[in-house]
Amino acid sequence: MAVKKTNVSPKSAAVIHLFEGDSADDCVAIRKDVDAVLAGMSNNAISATTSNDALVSLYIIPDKIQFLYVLLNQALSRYSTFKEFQSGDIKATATVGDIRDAAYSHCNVKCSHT
Amino acid sequence: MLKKTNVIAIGISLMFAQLSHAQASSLDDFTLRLAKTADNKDAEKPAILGYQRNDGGVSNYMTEGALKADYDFGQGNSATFTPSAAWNHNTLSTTSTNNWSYGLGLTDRSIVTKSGDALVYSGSLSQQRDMTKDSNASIVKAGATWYGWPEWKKEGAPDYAAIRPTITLFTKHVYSAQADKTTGVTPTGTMSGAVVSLDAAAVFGRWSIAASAQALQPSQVVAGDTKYTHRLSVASVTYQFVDPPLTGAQQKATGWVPGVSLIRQVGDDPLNAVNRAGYTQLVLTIQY
Repeated sequence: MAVKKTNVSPKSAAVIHLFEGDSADDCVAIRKDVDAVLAGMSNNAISATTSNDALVSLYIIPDKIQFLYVLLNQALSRYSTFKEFQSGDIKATATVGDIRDAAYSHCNVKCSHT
Repeated sequence: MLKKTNVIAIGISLMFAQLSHAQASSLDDFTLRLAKTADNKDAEKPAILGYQRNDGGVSNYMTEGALKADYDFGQGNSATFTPSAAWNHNTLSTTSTNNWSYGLGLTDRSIVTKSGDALVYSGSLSQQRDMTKDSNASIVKAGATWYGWPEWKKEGAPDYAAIRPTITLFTKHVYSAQADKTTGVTPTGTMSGAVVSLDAAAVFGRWSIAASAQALQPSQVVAGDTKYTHRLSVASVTYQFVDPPLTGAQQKATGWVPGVSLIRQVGDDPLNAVNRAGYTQLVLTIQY
């Protein structure tokens, strides 16, 4: 997948990701971008190590979860294969893993581990 | 037959339901959903259905909801075009409300900070039918809602509290209506003005509180009406009989969640054809 520009820091290696295959680097980059959006929305309550099974509503006020998709669209637009989220794509009942997985899917990248 | 001011109703809250999500390429941006209200302040509020049968055998009911379709566009899909149809029927209250409307809405979300503080602009054109007055009206509205402070969130728990202020400018043209039986005046013409509202919500474990207060100040009124500030207040306290889920696995394992809500509404809203009334309801709810 072509990335328009990249700002992936070597520090991202500090977080252990177990992605495998040809798209592993893309998966790491997307995961980092998504986690940065989630961290901002939750005042840093969500981090790269937050469990995929955690409900987003434990960290973000439910009626503000509706704005996540706009910030994700801004953050992920640098990926050439990215297809924008719609306003109804991310529900207030979503988990952190749901959003990470949705980001990989919208970037048309298959990631072996989230 | 006496109509009780305070009623006990048994109802079902139908949580926000995604009716369809088209996958075809030309319809990728299109969603259709059931929601409580036609505006966009809180699209996840439940639709309501309540029923009461009193000792005299008279049945009353209330139902409020909206059917909406969304089409997203603009930078980051931050704008949404929303055709909708909405209804509000309530014969439980001291003065009945019975109206329906359909129209076109436009919403634009301006995200101000990384933490999701946002200013949401909304506008709409709609047609409204007020069955209680046998009147028809055209409505134009434009407003903005602030999603930011004051708010509070407990990290790692569902607990939170937030207040959302909204200001709306409107004009409502009533073009057909029945003449008032006592004054003989036909209440047609244009009402315009501003509405300021505060919507508050808080969750503490199994308990949740919601409150809404609005003041409508008309600058112009229809024939036979007088200018004064119309106020409408709605408050509810809900208790759910099970703890809220903390993980996705718990959420999937949770089936229908029973609860009980105490709802109190007082006042009127001539813009949305809600007649002056006050009522209290104790409602059994089921969320899923």
